[in-house]
This record gives sequence, structure tokens and C-alpha cells, in this order.
Amino acid sequence: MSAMKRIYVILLLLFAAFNLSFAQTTKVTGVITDDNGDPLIGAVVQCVENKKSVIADLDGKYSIDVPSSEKYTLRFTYLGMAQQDIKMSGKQDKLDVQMRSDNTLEGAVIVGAYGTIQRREDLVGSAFQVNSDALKNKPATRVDDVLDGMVPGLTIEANTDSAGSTRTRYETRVRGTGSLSGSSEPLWVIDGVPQYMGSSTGTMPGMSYTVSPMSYINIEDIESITVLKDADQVSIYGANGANGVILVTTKSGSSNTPLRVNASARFGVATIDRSTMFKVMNAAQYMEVAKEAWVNAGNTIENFPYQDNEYNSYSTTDTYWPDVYLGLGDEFNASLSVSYGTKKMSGRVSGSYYRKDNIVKTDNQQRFTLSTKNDFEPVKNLHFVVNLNASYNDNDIFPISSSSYLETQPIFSPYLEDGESMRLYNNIWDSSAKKFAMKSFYYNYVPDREYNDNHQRTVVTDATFNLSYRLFDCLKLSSTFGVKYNSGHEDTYYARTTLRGMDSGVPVGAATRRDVSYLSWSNNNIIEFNKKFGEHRVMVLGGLEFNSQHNKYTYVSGSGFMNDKIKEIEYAEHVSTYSNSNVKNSKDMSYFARAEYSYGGRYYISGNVRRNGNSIFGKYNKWGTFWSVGASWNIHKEKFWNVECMDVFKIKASYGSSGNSKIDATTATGTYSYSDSFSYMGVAGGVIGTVPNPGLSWETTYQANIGISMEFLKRLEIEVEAYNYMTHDLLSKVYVSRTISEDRQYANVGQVRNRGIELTVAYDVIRNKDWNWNISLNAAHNQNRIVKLYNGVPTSFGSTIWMEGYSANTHMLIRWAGVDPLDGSPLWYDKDGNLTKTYNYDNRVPGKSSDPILTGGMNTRLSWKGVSLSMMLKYSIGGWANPTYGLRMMNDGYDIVNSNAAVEVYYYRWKQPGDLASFPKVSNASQHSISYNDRLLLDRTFFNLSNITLSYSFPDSILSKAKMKGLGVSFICDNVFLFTRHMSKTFNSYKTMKSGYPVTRTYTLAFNVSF
Amino acid sequence: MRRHIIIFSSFVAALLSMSACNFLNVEQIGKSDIEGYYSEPSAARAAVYGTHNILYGLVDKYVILYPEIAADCVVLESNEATWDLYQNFAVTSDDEIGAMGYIWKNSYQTINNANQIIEHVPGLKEEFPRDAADLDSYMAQALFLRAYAHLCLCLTFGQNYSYTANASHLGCVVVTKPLSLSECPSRNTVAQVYDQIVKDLQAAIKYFPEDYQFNKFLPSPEACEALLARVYLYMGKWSEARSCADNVISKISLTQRDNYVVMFNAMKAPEKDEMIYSLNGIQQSSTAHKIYWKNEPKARPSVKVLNLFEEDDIRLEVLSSSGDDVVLKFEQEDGQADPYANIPILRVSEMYLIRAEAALMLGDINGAVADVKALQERARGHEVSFDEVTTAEDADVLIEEERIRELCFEGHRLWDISRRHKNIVREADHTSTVKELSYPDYRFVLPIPSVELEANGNMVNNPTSNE
Repeated sequence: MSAMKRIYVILLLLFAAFNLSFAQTTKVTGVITDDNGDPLIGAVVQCVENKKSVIADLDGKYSIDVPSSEKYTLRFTYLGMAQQDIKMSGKQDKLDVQMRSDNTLEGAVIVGAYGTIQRREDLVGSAFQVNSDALKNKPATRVDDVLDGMVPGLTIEANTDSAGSTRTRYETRVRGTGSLSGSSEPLWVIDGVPQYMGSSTGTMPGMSYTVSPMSYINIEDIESITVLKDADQVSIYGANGANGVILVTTKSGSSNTPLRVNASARFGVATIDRSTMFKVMNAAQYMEVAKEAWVNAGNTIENFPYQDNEYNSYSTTDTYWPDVYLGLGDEFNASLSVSYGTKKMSGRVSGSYYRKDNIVKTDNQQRFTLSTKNDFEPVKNLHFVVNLNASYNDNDIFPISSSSYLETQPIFSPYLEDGESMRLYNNIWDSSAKKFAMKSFYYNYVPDREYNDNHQRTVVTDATFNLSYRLFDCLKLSSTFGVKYNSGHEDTYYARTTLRGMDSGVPVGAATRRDVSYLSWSNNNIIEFNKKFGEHRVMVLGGLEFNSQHNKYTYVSGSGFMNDKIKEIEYAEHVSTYSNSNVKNSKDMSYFARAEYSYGGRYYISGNVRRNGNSIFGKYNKWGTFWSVGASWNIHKEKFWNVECMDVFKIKASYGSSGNSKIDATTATGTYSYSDSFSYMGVAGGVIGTVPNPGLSWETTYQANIGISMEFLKRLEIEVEAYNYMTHDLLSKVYVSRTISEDRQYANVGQVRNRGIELTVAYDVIRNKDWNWNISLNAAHNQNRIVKLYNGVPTSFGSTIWMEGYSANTHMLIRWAGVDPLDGSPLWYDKDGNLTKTYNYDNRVPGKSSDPILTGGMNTRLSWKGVSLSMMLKYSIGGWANPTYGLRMMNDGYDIVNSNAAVEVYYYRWKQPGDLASFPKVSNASQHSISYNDRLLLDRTFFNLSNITLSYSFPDSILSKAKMKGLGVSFICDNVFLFTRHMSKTFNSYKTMKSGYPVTRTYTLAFNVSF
Repeated sequence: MRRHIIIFSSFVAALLSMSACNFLNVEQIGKSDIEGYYSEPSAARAAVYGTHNILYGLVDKYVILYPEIAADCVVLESNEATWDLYQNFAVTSDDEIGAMGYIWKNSYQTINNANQIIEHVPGLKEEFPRDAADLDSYMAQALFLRAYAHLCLCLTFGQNYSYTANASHLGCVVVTKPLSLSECPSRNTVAQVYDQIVKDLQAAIKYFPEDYQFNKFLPSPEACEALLARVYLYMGKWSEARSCADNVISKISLTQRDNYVVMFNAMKAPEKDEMIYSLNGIQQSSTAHKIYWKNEPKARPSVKVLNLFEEDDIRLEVLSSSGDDVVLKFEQEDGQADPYANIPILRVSEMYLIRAEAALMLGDINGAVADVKALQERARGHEVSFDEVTTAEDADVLIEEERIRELCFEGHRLWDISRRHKNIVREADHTSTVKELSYPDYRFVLPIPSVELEANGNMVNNPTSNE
């Protein structure tokens, strides 16, 4: 902190010096131009302090008298241009001003590929930027989730709809799923450095529970997030760009600004949205159904397993298991940042603490971050930017095994009669032995929650150095070097007092320790030429990039502990300890270039080329070349344009290729497995793991994009884009001759097409001094089709299928034909459409797909003076889900004696001949009516009112008295309400099956103060 | 200006020099990639063991069972559905998860693993000349494994050697080096497959160092010669078969009567017996054992087999347990910790039978009878005379029956029937629906798996009817 203090002192001294030097009236002169450099005749210049104003002449020149004894502000205004207030001190007597158009399209800038700043008006490609003000007041848990519903064509979904990990993995898709076997995740680039986000399925290799690196970032440090979508923007990222690129730019200080301190704090309460909780039977309902299923399976009621005894009083127990595991959570986030800037340096330092207690009891996340970004200019035109970040993350995880919190029967209690001792066994009637027997109660996770550990600590440090030198006005050299080290440690311990810590009833305790490190470094070197020759502007950029990823994993486990106090493997029984370690490397290297040419702010063309090499691929296909071309036309700037109400009319198009290299790093070279599982005569042996696959190459996506941007009356902005993406050389596992390998092998076969249309509308309904109301809406439609598969052969994976002419997300299910009213047995249609009572897996037929027709979001903000109210709605229309909970719990009595089922089973089941029931007769002997049939396909349409925020910012008049720059308070409600079809208080619908855990609704109070 | 040019050109020069380096050659540390794995001589030894692990699964689950179940010595329990298809000759190309799919798949897995060893040993020898003798023995073992797996394939998927005059009918694909993924190899003729097998075994014998320590659970020079004897017999090369069998018999002697039964019990077997090559079952779970398991057998000896024995034949003792007719050739001590069963592949008894058959074919009836007599006397514990056997026909019947008595359930029977061009005839009360299959018939071999046919355009299926 001492360095900062010094800077502050220096700044104070400087101000003092200015105050002493001047005490007369002086003149300020200069030229006012528009963004093309043309003089702005008639622009008004006003000195705010003495209210004097002048008008610029024919050459855009002005001259104004100003008070010289103090600091003052000059205000420049011109119709159609954004007002500019420039703070002056008496010393300055010349000031040239370039004004910018105030229409939103022209005004906004976008951070494009390799940090090139482009005005939205100049954009040839497709890029959508979310700025920090839109990220404000959004949930701070993880950075990807906040983008949901904000970016057209970007969808974020949990990878599973069943309860499992409390750190859900998300699938982020930009314009559909372009790969079948490789990853379809976009590339994340933070401050110019590509990020390692885990394996091709998003898991963190080496860890047993994945905590996403997305949760390690303090969202308040982010200045902007740009999603690059088309070939013009992503081709330059070559082999990693096919799934889109997401650029994150962190906040920085700006030069010549005084020290500014910003502090914020948020307190939140997380509650369960009970309307989204899956509804199961209570004890009485369960007992009725279970007994019926027991008898229907041909058993006698005397042998029913759950008969009251001294250890279990089944008839009087009614446990609502969700309440045993779920409760109130809370959230706390505090951050402090300081930014400053002098002539030769500027910077920002921030620190934050975040804590979240999940609605799953004892599950929590903590994050400490520290981040600094400094920009030094030791010599004129030489910039040295240093970016240092550290994040420490502590995750205490309590995963509830898949849906056990719903399936555990209500007739069991987590505790013994005394209400506190853990129940490890239940006394159950054994019908074959004709006596009660103590059975292990594995589904009671309460002892595990209380005594077991599942703890992850992760330290992420990264450092980015950027050196840039502007050689001439038009030529810039720049080098960036980034290193990121992510070190994780995971401890799990099964206590001797829990069933999982016992071996055949004998307490042993079991511990695992995992250590992983992911080291990545990246270097890019760029030469940029940018010059304007009259109406012509030329930009050429060339570069060289290296990336390297080095992962190491260590694992040890052991059991046989003396007590639960010492959990380290050193004290485990030595015969039971096991350890291993592994390492994985990959590297890539690229040359790339981008060129842009524009004429008169009207015509733009651009091109990209990247030659990309990757060590993952075999020696014949290490290198791939990707390219793109694009053009745009600002028609509204043409002389012939005379549509008055339309301020902007722009069309654009691009076409090009990009690649996807996210497959396992050892595929090309082949592997050998050496372990005990291949032993002979008791000695470990080695066998071929995977055969070498040197011919393997990139998936290449050819992307075509066209777009139209329009703005009416400076209020309504409409942007429409359409695209057609074709992925060639699809990586897919195919059978090769068994004489070569017994396993299926990756091969470049097949084609997938994603085509769609995206619409963005922004409308300023009210825009005046006190009142402001704007609405923005985005909608995207994507159609996914498998165009070609290896030899045209469909591949089926249980309930889904890949088939030519169908979406990659097509359900493959047996058609349900209802319940036979005579005997309650399930009916299906066979392959040929004939009614059948026989369940047969081979009767599955391809049918509906899970692809939604339309996805998107709507944001609106209404403000009056300092008060503002904003809302966000996410939606998805169409598509069919085959929810896990439907599959498992809306059953025909299958295994009902061992697990609870949906409330529908109680109400809708067939009971007697003549019943027109929708659920078949319950029987503990399964009739398979629950698996692989389309009975429970549900419309995925939902509307999620995801956020309402009410904010108040205190006015300047109060702030200046308190010597503050800003003070705000907000009340935020996240996940307000979820709408789906067939919502019901009593029954389940897609609403209760959309996610494994019920929705967490959070109420947050946020404060923000700056000096 | 000059300074700027210097800065610019040095930046460009630095970039160019960076791009010249060999950045993309990543060494996959951690022994996971194949080249990294074969960086030490011990890798070849582990690979021999690993290949045996695969082979155990292949032989124990399928190779030892299929030729018996498809022939006339095994009766299946009615609930044994997986093998039912095979007994009734109803296998189609779809039975990917049965014997057909796995014999094809796992045999090539064995061959491919052996080929990796054969491919990498020369390089290792150059780098580690001190370990040359050890490396040579791994090379020899890999060659043996490759030969044996080719034989399994050729017998299962190709008709017997004398099906056509010059064995020009289709056998299996001969694979002698790691193939690249895009290749679609086609089937070789049976003659070509046998040639390669003979070549591999002869090469293997040469590779074994002089002081090689015999181990019945690993390929040895004796095992190579024994397998050669069998292969020559199948090929009808009588004098070669006779001399190979002769060589083996001179080196390893028959197990004596007292130890005959325990020889088939992995955990009780003496360290030295007549096993020339047998697969060790430690840490493997045996399917053959389970199928013939005395407490709950899914397959039993047929009446036809049991009727061939005299009362005092010791070999009846491995075909019965507490009065029940069961097979005890894959026995393990069930009560003990980690029980396991070994799978016999080559025994000295078979060498006697090969020598006998070869002698007969070469016109030496007395020699032939003498070898059968040796086995009979060992089995019955007293002198036996075969005075009634005087003609070649009688001797041939004697040898065929003795082969059943001695080698039943060890995976020989179907091959013995087909190479003799005989019909499969089951007793009338056999549980199978098909009681007889006359030679020749397309069903003496299995069809090629459909996955192979789909993935490999050059693959030709076996006929699916008698044209």
C-alpha cells in the first residue's frame, strides 16, 4: 500500500502546483471535428463555470474565454453527437476535440479478436458485447452463468437434470452444437490469454468432483465480455475458434485520473423455490402403493418388508427428505478496488471476498481474489502492462448422490428414536428368511454430511505481461506473455462412524488425497499497421502465437484408520494404501494475420488467415489452415440515403473456416496401459490402450454469416443475423477393422450443420432528463442437423440417436400406447406401429428432438432520477425433454419397495379392471414400462423471470457534501419465478423436473460506494 | 528513424527465429504413449504378460469351449442360452458378444499386442545390448503368441487345411505388423496362414537363448515345437509332425498316474508335470471353470464320451464328482482364498497322439499303437495289449478314440472331426436340436462378425448356406 500512498501524495502536490501558478483570464482555442475528421460547423462550446458559450466557425475552429485562476470544465455539444465534458486546468490553452455520434451503434466500441478495438459501426463480423454495467448486480457465483439470456445465440445449460454434484457443470453453446464427439465448448480468452477450462467434457482431470474454473473469477473485475460468433471474428483463433470465442477484458485504470476508491458489499439470502421441487409421495401414500406393488408382484402382505418393530416404527414415520438436506443458504460478497492514473502510469488494484452457503446444507464456496493491472509508459509510446491475479478458492462440497434426497422412502427417519443418533441400519422383514434383519441404510446421507469430508482448495495465479511499442503512428509492435498456474487439492474422508467408512460393518475409515496442477503459458507477438490515407483506412495485423498446457495429477488413498481424528494416509494401514500419478502435455503454435480496409466509413472488407499447428494431432495433420473473408456496407452514409427516420442501415456478410481441436491429447500417438488389471501369473502387464491414430485431424467448421443493422429515430435498434455453419471432418468414434483395433477409433467422418437466425431489438421507450425506460430483447433460433455419418450408419446411445437428416439431439424411444384398462398392463407400439404388450428395446424409433425452437432473453430498465428498476427474463420455447426424474420416479412400481416415487404414481395408477389410468398397474416386479419410452416426453418451453433489481443512487448534491463520488443501494431478487407448461401445485411438470435440485431464489441487498 | 528500423527488424527477426524451433514435438511423459512405453527392456516383458492376460480371457472363455460345444462331447443344460446357438449351428454375424465376436476380436488383440513387441524389440536390443538375451526370449514368446492366435482364428473361421486340395480356401487375415487405421486388410488363404504360423514358430525357436529357463506358463522352445507338431498334423505333414512330437517327448515326460488328476487342479498341480504350455489363472476368473463347475454345471460330458472309457481308467476321475458326470479339467480349490484355474493348451500326451497318428500315416502301425499303448497303460495302471489292432483302419479308430479320451474338453474335438472329414454325430438323447451335421458343411466354421464386415470393405464373409 505504501506505493499507492506515494502516488496519492504526488498527485496532491501536482494539484497544489496548478493552484499556485495561475490567476488570470485566458483564451482556449481549438478545432472541433466529427469522427471522420471533418469540421463540425456550429458546434457549441460552453464553459460550465461562467456559462459563456461560443460557436465553432466554418473550419470547426473556436476560441473561448475561460477563467484561468481555477479548474473548469468545457462542454461541447452538437446535434446528433454525444455531449463531451472536458475538465481543464488553467494551464491549457489549446484543445482539439473530436466528437462522436451519439447513436448507440456508432458510439459503442467492441473489443474484438486479439484485443483490436472496433466501433460497432465498423464491424464486419458478428460479435456481441456485454459491458460491466450489465454485469452489475448479477449473481457472483460464476462468470459464464451471467451471460445466459443476454447474448443472442448463446445458451448455457446444466449438463444434467438430475441431482449429483452441487457444482453443476454447464454446457455453453454458441450457435448450436457443432461437434459430436469433440468438445462444443467455446474458447475463453481472458486479457488476451486463452484459458484452460478442463477436459473436452468440462471435467477437471485428476479431481473426483469438478469445480469449474469459471467460479474462480471475481465478476466485479470484469470490464466487458465479448462473444465472437462468426468466421470474421473467430477464424483468427484458428483451430480453437469453431465453437465461438468469449473474450473477457478486465477493468483497468486510465491515465490522468485521480485516485478513485470503490467499495461494494452484498448480502443475500438463498431460499428454495418450493414450486420447483419434485413432488414425491408422503409416507401414507407410499405405504399404500408399496403394499399394492408388493402384492401385485405375487407376494403375501404378511411378508411385506416394512412391518413395525422395536427398531423401526414405519407406520408413524413420515420424513420429508428434501427438508433433511435442503435449507436456507446465504451469500456474501465484498470487494474493494482502487484505480488511479498519472501521465506515465495507471492502474487498478482490487480485492474481493465471496462466500456462498448453498441451499444444500453444509455445502459452501469461498473465494478470495486479488487482482492488479498496471500500465506503465516509461518512454513515450512504450507501454508495459502487467496483470497479476490470484484467487484462492475453498469449496466444501456435499454432493447428494443422484436424486437420493427424493427417492429415499418417507417411512425411514435419518435418526434413531432419540432424534439425534444417526440411523445406519433399518430393521426390515426378510421374506425368504422369515425374520427381521438389519439392513444397511446407505441412502441416509446425514451421517456422511456430519462426519465425512469432501473439501477442495484451489489456488489460481496468473500473470500477464504485455509490452507494446508504437514505432510510428501507424505501426505498433506488441508482445504478450501469460502464465497461469492452477493448483488444486482435494481431500475426501469417509468416517468410521458412517457406512461408507466401514468394511463389511467394521469401521475402517477411508481417505483420498488428490493433487492436480494445470500450468499453461501463452505467448503472442503482433505487428499492427493502421493508417488512414484520405478516405482510405488500412489495417494489417500479423502475429505468432504459442500455447502450452501441462497438467499433472497425483492421487493417494488409504483406509484402516485408528480413529477419525487422523485422516492422513500416513496413518492408514499400509496394505490398503494406493497411489498413482500422471501427466499430460499439449502444445499449439500459430501464425495469423488479419487485414481490414475501409473506404469513407461506408465500405468495409476484412480477411483473416491462420495457420495452426497442434501437438495433439499426428505428424501428417499437425497443421491446419483457417481463413475468412467479410464485408460490410454502411448504406446510411451514402449520399443517396434519404430515409430520415432511419439513422443507421448497415448490411454485412462473412464466410470462412475455423477448427476444433479439443480431443484427448494422446489420440494420435497411441497409448499403452500398464497395470494390475492386465496381470499374468500375478505380475502386472502392459497392453495397447489405444492404437496410434496419426491420420486424425481437425474438425473444420465453415461458417457463413449475414446481418442487417438498423436504427430508427435514435431510439430503436434492430439487428438481425442469419448463419449457416457446416462442420466437416467431424470427429467421431467409428469401428475400424478388428484386425487393427478392437475399439472404436476417432476418425474424421461426417458432417453436422447448424443454421439459425438471431434477432436483437433495443428500444428506448422514454428518454428524457428524469425518466428513462429501455427494453432490449433477443431471440435466437438454431436448427441442428446431422448431414452425414460414417457410412451413413446411425449410432444409438440408449434413448438418443445420431442419424442422418435428424438433429444430434433426437430422442430414440419406444412409442407408448397407454395402459390396458382390463389388466393395467402397459402398451406400446412396436417398430411397425402395431400394438404390443411386450416390452422390447428394439422397438425404439427416432422421434422428437430436444432442440428448442427459440431461445433468448429480455431486459428492461426503468429509471427516474436516481431510482431504477430493472428486470430480466430468460426464455426457451419448444423442444422435448426426457427428464431423468420422469424416467426414474414416474414408474410402474419398479423397485418401489426400495425407493420412493412421484406423487403421480399414487393418484394415476391403474387399480382395478375398467380404470382408464395413465400409469400402469404397480408391481414390484418391473414391467420395464419406465425405460426408453416416450411416455414422459415433456415440452421444454419455459420463461424464467431471472432477475428484478431496484436500485437507488444518491444524487451528486448529497454526495459532494460527503465528499463521495457515488453511493448506491440495490435490492436484488434472482430467480424470481419459473413458468412452464402444466404447472400445478399438486403434480409434477417440466418445472419440477428441469433441474436436479430445486431453483435457488436469492434476495440480496447491495451497497456500493466510491470516493 | 534508424533506431525504429532496428527495433522493427529485430522484432521480426526474433519472431522468425521463434517460429523456426520444433515447438510442436511434445514428448508425452508418463509412459502413456507407445514410444514412451517401449523405452526400457522391462516393457517388453510386461507386454508379454499383458498379452497373456488377453490370451487367458480368449482361451478360457471361448477357444477351449467352442470346439467342444459345437462337437459331440458336451451336453448343455437347458438354461444355457449363450452357447445354445453354437451347439445348434445357428450363429449369425450379429453375435458380436458371443464366441464368434470375441474369438475374432481377442485373437487380433493378441496378435496386435504381440506385433508391438516384435516391432519394438530390435530397437530395444540396439539400445540395451546387455539385455539382448532377455529381449530375444520376449521376441520368441511374442512370435509364439502370434502363431497361436492365428491358428485359433484360422480354425474357427476357415475350413480345415485339406478342405481344398492346396488349402487355397479362405482362412483369416494374417497380420504381421502394426497396421494403420485406414487399412482394410483382406483374408488370406488357409495355406498362407499356416505358412506364417510355421514361419513364426520356427523363428521363435531360433530366438530362444540357449540357457532359456523352461516355464510351463510361458512359451518355450518346447512349446513352439509342440505347437509345430500340432500344426504339421493339421497340415498332413506327417514326418515333420512326427519329428517335432518326438523332440518334445524326449525333453518332457508324461505325468505319472498318481498325479494325473491333480495336474488339472491349478492349486494342487505339481510344479513339474507334462504341461508344455498352460495358461496361469492367478487373479483371473475362469469361465471354463464356471461352465463345468461341479456344483452347478451348465455343461456336462456326453454319454458318447463316457462310454469310451474302461472302468479302471484314471481319466474317468476327471469326468465325475461324487457320482455326478462333470468335467474337472479346470478345477480350482473353491474353499481357498483367491482360487483360480489354469487352462491347459499343450500337453505331452497330445504329442504321443500326434506321433502315433503321424506314424500311422507314414505306414508304421506298430509305432502308432505303441504310443497309444503308453497312454492307455499310464491311464489304467496296468499293461494293456492291442493285439486286435492290425489294420490301418483299426489303428485310426483307436487313435481317434484315444484322442477323445485323453484330450476331451481341451478344445480339440471339432478340429479333429473336421480335419478327418467326418460328420458330427450326437447321441439320440442329446439335448441339442441338431443331432447330426454331415461333412462338408458351411457350419463347420463361424461367420465373420458383422462389425468387421461393416468396417472393412475388403472382408469376405463365409457362406451362409451350402451352395
